[in-house]
This record gives sequence, structure tokens and C-alpha cells, in this order.
Amino acid sequence: MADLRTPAAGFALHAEAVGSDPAALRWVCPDGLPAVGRLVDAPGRLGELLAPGGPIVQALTERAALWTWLADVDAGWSELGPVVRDAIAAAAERPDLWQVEPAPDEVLRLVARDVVERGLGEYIASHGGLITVVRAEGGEVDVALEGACARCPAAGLTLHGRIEAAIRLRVDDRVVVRPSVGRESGQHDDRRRFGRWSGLL
Amino acid sequence: MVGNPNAGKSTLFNALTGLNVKVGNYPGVTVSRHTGTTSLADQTVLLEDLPGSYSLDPISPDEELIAEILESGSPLRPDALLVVLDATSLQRSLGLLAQVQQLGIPTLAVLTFSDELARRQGSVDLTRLSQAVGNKLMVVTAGNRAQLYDLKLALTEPETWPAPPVPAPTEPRHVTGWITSVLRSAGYQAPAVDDRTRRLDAVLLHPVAGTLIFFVTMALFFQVIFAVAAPLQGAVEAIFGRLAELVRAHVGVGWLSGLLADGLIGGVGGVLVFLPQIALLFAMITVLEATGYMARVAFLMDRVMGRAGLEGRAFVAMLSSVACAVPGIMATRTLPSARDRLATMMTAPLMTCSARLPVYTLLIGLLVPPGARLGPIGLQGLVMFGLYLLGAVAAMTAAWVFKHVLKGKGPALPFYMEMPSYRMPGLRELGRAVWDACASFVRRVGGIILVMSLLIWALLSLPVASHDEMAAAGIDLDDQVAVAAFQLDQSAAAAVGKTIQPIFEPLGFDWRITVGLVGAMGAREVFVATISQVSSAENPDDPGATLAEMTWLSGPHAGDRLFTPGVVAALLIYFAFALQCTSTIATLRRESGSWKWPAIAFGYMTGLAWVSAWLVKLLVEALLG
Repeated sequence: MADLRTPAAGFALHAEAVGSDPAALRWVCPDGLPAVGRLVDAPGRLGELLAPGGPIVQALTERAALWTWLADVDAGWSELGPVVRDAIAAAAERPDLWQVEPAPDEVLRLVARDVVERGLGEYIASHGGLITVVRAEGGEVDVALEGACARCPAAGLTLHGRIEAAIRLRVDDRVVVRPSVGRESGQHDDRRRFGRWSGLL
Repeated sequence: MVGNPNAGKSTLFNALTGLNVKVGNYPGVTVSRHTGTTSLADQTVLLEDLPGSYSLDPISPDEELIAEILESGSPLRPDALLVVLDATSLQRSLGLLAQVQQLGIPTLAVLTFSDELARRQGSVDLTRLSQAVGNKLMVVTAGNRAQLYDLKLALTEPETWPAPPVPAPTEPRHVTGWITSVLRSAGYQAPAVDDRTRRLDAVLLHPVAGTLIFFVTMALFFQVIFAVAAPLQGAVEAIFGRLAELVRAHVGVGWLSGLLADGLIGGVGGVLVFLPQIALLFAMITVLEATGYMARVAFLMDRVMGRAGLEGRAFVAMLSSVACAVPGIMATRTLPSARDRLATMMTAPLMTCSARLPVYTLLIGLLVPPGARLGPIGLQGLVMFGLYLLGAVAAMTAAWVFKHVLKGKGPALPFYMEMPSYRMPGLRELGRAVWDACASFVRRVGGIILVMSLLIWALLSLPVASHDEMAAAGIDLDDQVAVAAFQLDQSAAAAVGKTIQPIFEPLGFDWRITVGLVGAMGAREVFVATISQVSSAENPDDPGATLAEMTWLSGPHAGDRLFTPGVVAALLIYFAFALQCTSTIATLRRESGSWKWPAIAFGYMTGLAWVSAWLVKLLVEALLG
């Protein structure tokens, strides 16, 4: 039976808190955004919100999400949130007017940390592991493998099959994720092992 | 607890509270508020199960209730909300969650039916779903105790539940966008229509084949009632007969022996023998509901009723009335239009409720010999099926009439009824439903029916006719049957019955039937109790045989056979149509808010019952010569 109460679909959009940073909010737009980088101007209300002195101090875009940071952290998102949401939905109707400057390293750092800490963090922690982003620039992400990950034969699989795939999906298909050369003992074994694993993958 | 209809709320509520709210595999089973508590360690949480709803914007009285409870400033507003999301129809469930997020009440989402989602090749990433909606999300699958424990634990600390950073939007267009975004983020794969369900529905929902199957199913069921329940009933009857004999043989005091043997065993026992029928009826209703077939029946009937301009929801209310009209009338709360609601309420008592079952069984036994067959079909079962059908057709016809007589237009609103996947009913659930129905029947028998039976016994036994009076009337004191008959005819009950009896004279009812009808005002089964008391008083040795040969005690018809086919048929019809139940009248009063509607219902149903019974009597007599 047809769902008679559902009207024509609006722009697909929802907000996600990002845990560690109360000033930031991640707007997921599964239909995609015009470009990846720093959003400097946008049509309509969104542009006004982004203007210098406006309530949003910074905005970065992934392929299918927009990050916004509050100028006044204490104000919280409860009031501004709905305003920003409607502004994004309205602006999405004119993708040609979005001005996005390239900011590859900033976006990569943001997304890499988000993927590792928030997205896969729970999964990794549930296996007794801990992965942290050490460095993210120039299309390369170095992560430190600690806890159970350090000796886990599946760590390579997680690194490439999950972390790298997730970052590529959100930022750029050329991103490479590698285990960092850490200070722990056994690092050489790790590197050798991952070398072998990455070859297989 | 809020959630879409049929999202498994009541099952979860029962699991959490250990209570026993009725569960059925079709929407609209919960129409009133239920509360219960769940405790863990030293914490006790009061839970309230609200009616299933697709939206917090009310369109029907039951949805209004939810909106009222949740509105800010309401004294009933809960500290926290548990939103039940059905994993198999997540899109609609999220629509409700979006509205709940506006309320600003701490909210925990519980995902149900994830096992069925997986079975039907659907999937969802729970972590991503929880992140996307911003609420705490827990999965609870029916019967999983570990998940239930985790949920109980979470319920004790609502202050730790995260709130979404930005509540979902309110504008319908944006809500749809929000739902799409959340579902895509969570990688939601909607479940395929269950293969088994699809294949079954192709047949069962077919306008012709489906309807035919429905009627065949029902006809078969009534065959089963007579084929299976009747021998059981015979066994119970034999036990009570033996018991009455023992009492008569061993209790020396005359009046006490009469009270126990006739009043208690004859009256109450006479009703209790129908326990097998009640158990079977509820077993069948539970199986039909729990498998999901009842929702299909409602769908099939909706097509028929739609043509008469009636609501599909009305049929759900009518279906509930097969058990009892009281929950049926309460189920009309799901009807958005006041006019439809009233029309359904006024006619639901015409549906054949379970209290009519003992009366029908007794009377059909008098009308149709047990072995009579029409081809392969037992005639007794067929007549019973016919009576149920008559009740349903009468209810719908009357609803149609009411709808057109009542002024004022109701809004034309869409009715959606989910077709749940077919599920195997759990044996526990089945056992519980049958047990509950039997327990409530026995309670009823031990309560109102017992009281009425004893009252009627007293009225039938008092005043005691003296030997002088009998001698004066020319009764042979050695003829026990004649003595008993004389005593009955001089009793207080006879005086009452004879006063009212002229009203029923044209239907061929004597004062004993009339007293039975008056007693049936308390509960329909009292009619059975009265008639079995009368027959066991007249001929203690074989009350069953007496019934068929019972004759008029006095007056112009004295000596004529009482239960002629015409009279039995008239009685059946009278019971099918008359509003004899005081609980139904009280419920009508409460639900309609005035005495006007119960008075009208009583008037039209009694009138209808009398006139139809009279016509049927004439017809049967004409047919049989």
C-alpha cells in the first residue's frame, strides 16, 4: 500500500555530533556536495552565516558532508542548528554558486581522525585495539597501532579494507594509509608484516 | 513507550514488565494505556505502553491521547521516552522518531524485528544508525534475555542518553530528506518482501480465492467446534451429572440438596460445560491473529466495506467484538471520523461475541440432531457458521445505515494497514491466550453467572408449594415430575415471567424462557443456566432429554411442546440481535459520553431482535408445515 502521508522528498541531510569537539557539527549530505575543501561562500542564508563575523567560523566539505564550527562554543547548536540545516538545504539547490577552496591537508586530517576515532573506534576498541592518526598530509595518512592491534594479524585488513576505504570514499580515491614508524619495539615486524599484507590486498 | 502500530511495542512491554498485554500480529491491538513497572536492583521504572501511532499529529482519538500526554506542561508527561523502531519498516518508524526528537524528552530508540530484517535479506549498520539519528539505540529481539537486561539497565539512567545535536526537522519535505539521509548513512537495505509471505498473499489476498478461503476456513472452524468440543463437553456434562446425583443421594436436607444440585451444579455447571468451546474459539482467534492472517482478513473485508463507504479500521473493531463487544467498542478509538466511530460502536455488539457461544450451542443442539449432515458437512456446525455470518452481515448493514443516518461529515482519511509477514505463532503465546480466555470465562461463571443462577434458583424454588395446594390442584403427589412442574409453575420466578411473558407470547416463549431472557441481561450465559436449572428440576434423572420434550406448564398452550423448531429458531435470532449485555451498555455510555447512544442501541437492537425472531418463527413454521 502506498505511503500516503509522505510528501515529495526534500534534500537528504542530517546532522551528527562529532564527540570530541562540541563546536563542530558534521552535516551528512548523501547526495554529495559540489567540491571537497574549504567552503568560503555559498548562496543565500548559508553565505551570510559563513561571512566574517557570522556565527559560523569555519566550514570544510568532504564529498558528502559539510563540517561547520561555531564561533561561540557556549551558544551550542540547539538554536543555530535548525537555521544552518535549512540554509544548507536551500543552498544545495544552487551547487554552481558554492565557492570551495582546496584545503586537502585540513580535510584529510579531519576525515582521517573522524574515521579512526569515531567511525571505527568502537569496532577497534571492541577488539582491544587502539589506532591513532599520527600524521595526515599530502594524500598520506600515518596511523599508530597500539594495544591488541600491534600484534593483530587482521590489523592490515582493518587498515586498508576499512580505514583507507572509508577515507577514500569520503575524500579522495588516491589516499594511502600506512602504519606509522612508532617508538614501540617490534615496529619492524609490523612494517614487514603490513608490507606483505598490503601486497596481498 | 511509543512506536508505530505493530512495531512490537506490546511484546517488549510485556517482556520488560512481566505483564500480559494482548499481543496480536495486526495494527491497532493496543488502544488504551497500559502501565507496568520494571525493576533492576534498587531502581524501579514505571513504563507506560501507549497506543501505536504513525505520527504525533493526532488524527484519531487514540493518537490524540498520545499527543495530550506528551505535550509540554502535561502532568502525564514522562521523564523519558522509549521509541520502538521496527527494523523492517524503518522509514516509517523514523518519521515518528523525528517528531519525538522535537519534544526535548530524553529518548532511547529500541530496534525490534532485526532478526526478521536479516531473514528477509535486509541489513542496517547499527553504529552508523545510532550516530545518524543522534539517539541511544539498542537492539532487542524477542526472547533475547541478555538484550533485555541491557535495556533494563539503560532504562534506569535516562540522564546518560545522548540527545541529538540538532533535532530532526519538522517540515514534512525536510523530514523525508532527513530520513533518506539517515537510512543511506546507516547503509539500510530494506527487507525483501518475504518470499513465503508473497506467495501466500498472492492467494490469500486474491479477491475471489482469498474470500473463498476465508469462508472455508471459518466454516471448517465451526465444524471443529462441534466435532471436537462436543465430545469434551459431553464428558464434562457427565461429570457434573454424576456430581449432582451424589449430592442428591447424600445431602439429606431437601432445600440444600436442591440448592447444590439444581442451583449450583445444574445452573453454573450448565454453563461451565462450554469451556471446551471457549478454549477452541480463542485458540483459533489467537492463531489467526498471531500468524498475521487476521490483517489479511481485514484487508479483504476493507474492499467489501469500502464499497459500502465504511472504514477498514471499523472492521478491526468488529473483529475484536468476536471475543467480546467491550474491547471491540474500545477499538473504535482508532477511527478518525466521529461519525464512523459512532456507527461502528453502535453496531459492534451485533457481532457474535463469545458469550453467545454457549447459548447457540445449546439451542442448535435442540434444533439440529448431532448426526445431521449436508453432504460431507455437519449441519450443526453449518448453522453455527450461519449465525456468525448473520451477526457480521447485520453489524455491517447496520453500520452502513447508521453512517447514512448520522449527520455531519467525517474527514476522508487514508487507512493504512500494514500486512505483517506471516509468523508462526508461539506456543506460549497460544497457551497463554487460551488460558486467559478460559480463566476469564471461569471467573465470569464464578461471579455474575453464579450470583444470577442462585438468585434464579431461589425464585424458582420459592414459595414452596404445600401438599394441600397440590392436592387442591389435583396433582398426584407420587408423580415426581408433576410435583416439580407444579412447584415451578407456582414459583416467584413464574410470577415474574408470566408478567413479562405476554411481550414474548407471539414468539412462542413461555415464562421459563422469559425468565431466562431476563437473567441473560446480566450475562447471556445465564439463559443457559436458567434453562438447565428448570430442566434438571423437572427431571433430575435426564435433564438433557427433558429439554427437547419440555411442555408448556399452564395457560392456553398447556401440554404443547415448548421447544418447537420455530421457537428455537426464533430464540437463536433473538440472541443474535438483542443487546442483552450490561457491560456493553456501560461501555457504550462511557465511550459515547452520554446515555443517548446506549438507549438507542438497546432500542433498535431489541426491536430488531423481536421482529426478526417473530418473522423467522413464522417462516420456519411455514416451511415445516
